[in-house]
Amino acid sequence: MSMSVMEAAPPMEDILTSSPPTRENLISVLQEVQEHHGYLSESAVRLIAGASGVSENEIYGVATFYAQFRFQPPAEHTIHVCQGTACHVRGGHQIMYDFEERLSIKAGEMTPDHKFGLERVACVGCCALAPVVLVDGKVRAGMKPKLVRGLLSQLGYQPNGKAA
Amino acid sequence: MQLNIDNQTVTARSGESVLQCASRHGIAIPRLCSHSSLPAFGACRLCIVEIDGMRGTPASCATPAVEGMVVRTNTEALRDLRRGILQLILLEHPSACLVCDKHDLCDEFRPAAAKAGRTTGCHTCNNKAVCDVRVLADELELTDLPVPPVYRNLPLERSDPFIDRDLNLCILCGRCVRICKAQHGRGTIDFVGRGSQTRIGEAFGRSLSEAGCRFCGSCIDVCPTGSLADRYAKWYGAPSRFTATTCTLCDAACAVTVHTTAHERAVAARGVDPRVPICVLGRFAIPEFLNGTRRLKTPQIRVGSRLRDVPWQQALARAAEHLRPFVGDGFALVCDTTNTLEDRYVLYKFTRDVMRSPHYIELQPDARGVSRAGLPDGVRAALLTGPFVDHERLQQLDLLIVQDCYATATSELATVSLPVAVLSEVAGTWVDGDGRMRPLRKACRGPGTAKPDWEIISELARTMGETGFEYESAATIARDIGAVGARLRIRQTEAPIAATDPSRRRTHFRGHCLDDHVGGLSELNGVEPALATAAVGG
Amino acid sequence: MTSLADAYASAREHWQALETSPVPIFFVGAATCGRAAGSGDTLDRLRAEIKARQLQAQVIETGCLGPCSLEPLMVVHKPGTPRVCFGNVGPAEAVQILQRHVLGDDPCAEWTLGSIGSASGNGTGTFSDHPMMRGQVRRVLANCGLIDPENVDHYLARDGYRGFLRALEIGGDQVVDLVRRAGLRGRGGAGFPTWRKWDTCRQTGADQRYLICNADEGDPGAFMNRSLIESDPHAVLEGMLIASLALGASKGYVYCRAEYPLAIARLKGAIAQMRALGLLGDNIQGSGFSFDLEIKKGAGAFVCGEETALIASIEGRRGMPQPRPPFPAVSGLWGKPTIIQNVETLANLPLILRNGPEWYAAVGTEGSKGTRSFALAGKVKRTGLIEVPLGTTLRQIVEEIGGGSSDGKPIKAVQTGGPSGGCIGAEQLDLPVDYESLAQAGSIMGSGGMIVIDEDTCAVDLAKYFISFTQNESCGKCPPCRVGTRAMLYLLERIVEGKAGIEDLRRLDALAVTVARGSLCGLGQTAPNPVLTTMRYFRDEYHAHVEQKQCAAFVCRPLVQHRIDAERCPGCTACVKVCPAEAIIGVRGEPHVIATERCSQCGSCLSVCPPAYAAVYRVSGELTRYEEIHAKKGKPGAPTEASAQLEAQSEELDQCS
Repeated sequence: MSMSVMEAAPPMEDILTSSPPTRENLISVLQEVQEHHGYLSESAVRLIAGASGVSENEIYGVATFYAQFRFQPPAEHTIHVCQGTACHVRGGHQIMYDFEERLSIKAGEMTPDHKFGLERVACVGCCALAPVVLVDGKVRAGMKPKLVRGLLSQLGYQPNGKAA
Repeated sequence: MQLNIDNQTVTARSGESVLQCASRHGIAIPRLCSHSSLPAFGACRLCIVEIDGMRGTPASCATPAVEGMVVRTNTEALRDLRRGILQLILLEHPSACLVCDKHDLCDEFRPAAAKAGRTTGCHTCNNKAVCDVRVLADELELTDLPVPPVYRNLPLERSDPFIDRDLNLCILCGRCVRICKAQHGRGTIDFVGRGSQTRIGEAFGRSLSEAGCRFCGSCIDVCPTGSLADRYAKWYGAPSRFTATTCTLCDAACAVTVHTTAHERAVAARGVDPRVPICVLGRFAIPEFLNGTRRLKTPQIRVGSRLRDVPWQQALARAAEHLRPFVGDGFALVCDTTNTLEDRYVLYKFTRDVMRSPHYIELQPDARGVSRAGLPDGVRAALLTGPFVDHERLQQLDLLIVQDCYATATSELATVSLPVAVLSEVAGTWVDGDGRMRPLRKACRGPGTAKPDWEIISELARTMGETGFEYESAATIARDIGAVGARLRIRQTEAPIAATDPSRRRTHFRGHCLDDHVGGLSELNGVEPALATAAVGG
Repeated sequence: MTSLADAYASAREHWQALETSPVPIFFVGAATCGRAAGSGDTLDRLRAEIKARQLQAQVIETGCLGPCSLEPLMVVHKPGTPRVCFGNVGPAEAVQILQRHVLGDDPCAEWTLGSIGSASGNGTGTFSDHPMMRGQVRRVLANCGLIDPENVDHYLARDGYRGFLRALEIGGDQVVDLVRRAGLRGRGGAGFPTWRKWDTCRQTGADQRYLICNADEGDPGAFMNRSLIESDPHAVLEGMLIASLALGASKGYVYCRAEYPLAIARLKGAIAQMRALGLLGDNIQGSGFSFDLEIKKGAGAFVCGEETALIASIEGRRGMPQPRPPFPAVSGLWGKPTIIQNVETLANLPLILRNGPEWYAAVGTEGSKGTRSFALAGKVKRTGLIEVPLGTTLRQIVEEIGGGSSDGKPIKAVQTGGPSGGCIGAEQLDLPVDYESLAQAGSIMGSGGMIVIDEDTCAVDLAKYFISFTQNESCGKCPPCRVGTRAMLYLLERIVEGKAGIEDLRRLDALAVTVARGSLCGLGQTAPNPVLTTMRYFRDEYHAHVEQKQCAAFVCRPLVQHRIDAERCPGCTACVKVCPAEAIIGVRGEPHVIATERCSQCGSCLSVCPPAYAAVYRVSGELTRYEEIHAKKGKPGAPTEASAQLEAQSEELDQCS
């Protein structure tokens, strides 16, 4: 998600007016806010707390339980490597390892310039086409370790210094 | 309804859990996360039992008792399973001491925990003397762990007033989260993260103060490990005595249990009604206030420009000598309603009958606890029980006698300064904001030779040759004045204001600014002391 | 709002028109797995081609027909001939089929899978006779791949909502009786008899009851629910109507995981269509039955597939399970009686109501009636979504439907039930697939994921993989699961790293028991299953790892050493360039050598060494493994344009550095 998309997002006040948060729809509201803004900021959580009567601490406790929620803006490009069973038996762990090596980050982290984020995802349900990676949400099936470099290069990745 | 627990027929009440029913009949089932004042959570999995007709091992805390149930609480298989579960709990807790082969010797020769910055085992844990986990490890005969334990290395949380937190000791029983939610509604702490990354925390890693903590201390009260600790009391080990009395720091008059050491020093005070929190003052201020190093400990008389320590007899004799010339309306006595009914009765009687003065000034503290008064023109001598009067006015007096708990600028002006026992150092009767009588019980002893106000005044009167002041105890006075039927405020209908909003707490007690004597208070949200209300004439 | 009667009439017309269309129709499988295989590109190209030729033709996006390994799939309606199903239809193939088959007379046999319905008469068999389809009985999946999931007319024309209308006629009590006689058991995991679950809920005298459709499908390796919802959403929703009628529930939720955006979109569309047809809201079709539906998205927590955790999630709380009793059927969502039902269980209901319980129970075994869908994946030739009668043997599924081993190596085991299930050794391949038999073999039916493994999968590594998954997804509330799975993972890691002793196997066993018996919810209770079953069927592998530091599958990297055979290596330097540890020494033209002390066992050299040389070989314990020397070998399935591009780019980069 790029900055320009986030700038165009509706302000919190509008989101909370059209979907007034309560205890019951808390998760749906958090999902909506993250959809528009890309992540849950401290000020967003404060506004949701004020509108719903649920303390910020509880909202944070709920949000940190679920893998979906982020508290920092996402990277420009996010790669999810599927770690489902079928992908695993077809070499999914090797692909994750290769991405980690090339980007010099671990799954769950972002490169320091915030251009690339690497995440693991449990299973996207395309098991017959394992191993699978998601590039910015789009499924790439039949992934192989030797295609990792090309994929990153397509996204504009330039390794600092010597190519590995 | 009837149940069969371990071949014993027991009667269960409607709505009870199997655990509650067993407890009532003296059948002990191990548990860590269940707490008598909290609804069942079912996290620790130690209270598991076998129930005919139910699959697996249900948690007895969460299983409602049902007519005809057949329950087994202590089979070999259950013990083995519980031991296995406790071993797992201890994989995330500094448990070296529990599995050490020198455990028994160490307990015999070095039973007390050593004070340390970071707890690495029971030997350096503030909870050692009262720890539920240690008791369980003993009961379940724990001797080893299946794989190497992991020290989570979470930062120690020391930046908040009153409460120290070491999350490396936390076993995630959730009691703290649950009691905060139950007592306050909008909780300050919650579970954060998931799975092995779970910890107890606040939004965005804020401190307790930033997260809106009311510092009621209930979380510390329920924590089964040393993870949450009262910074002042944490190293005192197990209290030797518990005394239920009334907190008189504000007119909510909450019942508190004061914990005292073998030396009769107060170390902690705790609320009595688990459904309702007490405020930061009742919970944390009492011991620090009582044990301050600048407490007045011995009677003093002025010799030249200095105050000299002297025995009681001498101090009272000097006071009597100086007071005699001022019998009449040149004398005033100023106290406030932090004094017990017994104190006030005797103070009043002294003013009226011994000093024959109309100027008995009994102050009503304002919402912040501030008591201030002026003295009528013509008053040349005064006896004050606290720093209630302007310094300038006091400098105009010919005679000033002070009986108080702490040295102040006021007591520095006195001709005679007498040390007073206050709060849980005295017994008596007190009146709360609703006009109800509440009992004070003596839980600890005052510093040095400090005495309660009524006792000092009675002795002073006798020294001045008066009769009618032969009181042996506060109870005799209470009978005389008809102060009977005082009851502890054990059940609260709602929390006192300061318990839900610490910024509305009292700032003063008996004329003293609490912030000066209780370290952590000044770090709480800023409080503006209001100005004094008009003095109430006697 | 159209009246339902009118809607049926126009749907029938519409469908008829489609069946007898005078212009060609291209039905392209465009559900998530179809798109992942590149059907998006196929569609674009097809549409462009049709436009360029100014053809009169229709393109309809359908769901999944089942054989995912043959995606993209395309069914072609050429007027006057039976419809034909084609597989591996990339953009180029689509154009070919259009030119040669639709505009010409060429049957395009190289991509033909079979004709739909009657045989085409020119020698091509029917699709249902295709080896992958032959053993299947597609009841729940009957519409998948054959209808446009976004067009409710297609559903209505094929007797959609007739089941619900029948339910309205006979009433809730009768519905329960039909379901009982049909013998339907929950398809989500435990296989509890559906009617009995409903009964508990119906007995509560509550004023409000809820029905929740569990579309969280968190098991890695399972995609049946996703496929069904994407391909035929109304089947599930009609099931919800029927169930709610029987339960007396007036409000329903579909809890669908957020990782399924297309499924969620299809559900939204279908719900709107239901509303427009008067099938949702107050007093549906004048029957007095009121019901409404809402979608709740999961937020990325596998544990929320557990009933009480799912309820907590809908209530806006952390998904931490609660002890039971009370059971959700008595006290669930917001304290009201709640029934949580799996997607497939619900999709069976319209069939039972339409065709009767005797029809339903005619298939299956004594204790396990009906059919069941499975997501067949792993090392078989033909992977995809299948539906077979319960009681079909594993061998029939793996060898007949799946076509046997994909790499020509003997099959080692079949993993069923996801992280809660187990690995069943190949000696048990004749096991009938039903609830009891799988349980006796140490596994569970679970959600329907079925992964086939061969000797290239290490049983210990697979167990470690599953424990690592459950460790990650554990909610953290109870110590047996939160800490126990971590302790088991620690031991498994030691085993694969070659650092374990024999007593570690005993400790692993003991921990497995503590976790299984001590955990609060199903996630923890079943987490040790993969370990327990692999230790049961492949104990020798564990011992080999511990005693001989050997991994026979050459998977556990710390136990595998990579070496280069000097006689095979021509010195192309491909491996030297990719080695991240710079552990390979060699100049162009000279055989290369791997410096073992620097080697991180990443396997990159093995993956880049050209098959023509296959010079990199591996050693583990006492075993040695060489790769086969091949001339350039073809890949199964058409390469997508995307991966061809990636391949070209990688090669370019290899040449540049």
